[in-house]
Amino acid sequence: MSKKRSYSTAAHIAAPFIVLAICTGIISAALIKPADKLKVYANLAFMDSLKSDPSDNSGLVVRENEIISTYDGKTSKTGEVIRPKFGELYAEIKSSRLDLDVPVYWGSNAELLEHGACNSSSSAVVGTEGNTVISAHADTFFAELEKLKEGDVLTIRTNYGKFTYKVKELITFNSSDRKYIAPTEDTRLTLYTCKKDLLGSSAIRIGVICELTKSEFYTDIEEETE
Amino acid sequence: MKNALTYICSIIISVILVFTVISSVFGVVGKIHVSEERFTSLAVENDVPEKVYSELEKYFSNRSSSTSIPANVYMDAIDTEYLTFIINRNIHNGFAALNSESTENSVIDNPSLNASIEDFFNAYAEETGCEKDDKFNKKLEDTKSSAYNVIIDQCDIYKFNALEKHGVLSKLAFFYSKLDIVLLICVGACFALTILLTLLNSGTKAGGMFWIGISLAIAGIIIIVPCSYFIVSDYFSAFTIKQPQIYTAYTSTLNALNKAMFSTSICIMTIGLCLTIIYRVLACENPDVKPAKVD
Repeated sequence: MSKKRSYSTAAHIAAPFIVLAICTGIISAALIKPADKLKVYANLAFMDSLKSDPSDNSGLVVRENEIISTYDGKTSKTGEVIRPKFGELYAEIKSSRLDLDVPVYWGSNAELLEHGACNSSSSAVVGTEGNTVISAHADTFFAELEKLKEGDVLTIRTNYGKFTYKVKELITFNSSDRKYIAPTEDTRLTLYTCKKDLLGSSAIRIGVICELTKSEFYTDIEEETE
Repeated sequence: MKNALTYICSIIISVILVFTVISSVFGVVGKIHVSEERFTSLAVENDVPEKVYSELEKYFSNRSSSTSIPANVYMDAIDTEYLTFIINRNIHNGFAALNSESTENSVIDNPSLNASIEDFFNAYAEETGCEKDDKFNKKLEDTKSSAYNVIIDQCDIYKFNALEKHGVLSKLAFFYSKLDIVLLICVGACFALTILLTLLNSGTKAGGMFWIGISLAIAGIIIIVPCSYFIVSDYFSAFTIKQPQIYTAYTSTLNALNKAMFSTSICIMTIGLCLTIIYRVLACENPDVKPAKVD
């Protein structure tokens, strides 16, 4: 009788664990197939590992660097560029003929466009091969852009070199047209802004395509850093 | 043999009861917390209209360089009461879509906003000597329409429009429409399984109570574990979309749902443990046990 009782007690003690084990097993088995997909969706929906609050305002950091305006040292046709970070002031565009003296930031968004012209981060850095695409607002930094003509000379100064361009072509395109701002194999500079319209801008973009005529990489600065 | 068969059947029915209890908890909490009233109250409790106002101000300020229209033209004409109305309307339309009902698409004109934009345009025309021709009037109408579109979009805090565009809302509508029936079936099944367990264990004193108790306790534990993880790790704060109003809407809803599930599961687990303890107490009062005779 006591043996029966002990079996009965053991069975009652084991029962919750057995039920829990079976339930856990069923849930695990049911989740095997959708687990990967669920993980992907969960990671996509909750991917901010820092768990930052949107009111922290810890977003874009704008770096205002000093760009070398006069350089008397040795230069070279080839050299290394210093890759800028998003939000960093890394160049200045000047035109001798027009009142154009614009700071250029790496990356493009609404906040940076308030500070100066923006070099699209999907385009080439000034001094590298490919299409360097720079845009700015028509009522501020690129207000004079529409006055540029073919043959005008533009210079871009950076902290690693000075680059001279000549305007080759005047362009007009729709904001949805990516032809002039797509990557290219040849080295060029594309500047564009919105066409001024009644109260603000339209969907039309105007700009210039410039060809590189002279590269002057600063070699003295490279030696100093070495 | 009979006892062993009863034991095995009780285990199987208990496992089924665990899952029906879990489904019932999901259904009840979902029914209460995934509702238009709950969503609108959460928006107000978490100051979402104020966040929408700030975002609109930021948006119109950023755009002022390209549109030449200062942000105050828009912001001085709207207030949080108006934004609350739009937010509630968007939520109403979202739930109407979930319930496969018709949505409210009537024009939500704001006379102050219309007047503010018109006054600005008229002042501009006077200042610059611009002719109020068809182009001018079209620009004016486009500006008004664009302003309303931006406001409605910013007030769509749960992004029902985006969900509808990607076909997610229609899939959710299918499950949402079945919620009542599923809940009814789950609760009915819970009662049926409870009665079945009681009848199956009618031979032992309060035996049904033991099995019902452990089923409830295990169902509670299974829900508590993931809910605790979400609370302790602050999981929902990692929500990817950081636009303040959307972030607040979604995280507050998910946290409210999680807390409701957690508290419900604690209650269920407690009831289950109590039933098990009561069974144990009743089982100890065994009149069949006679003290052994000592010669």
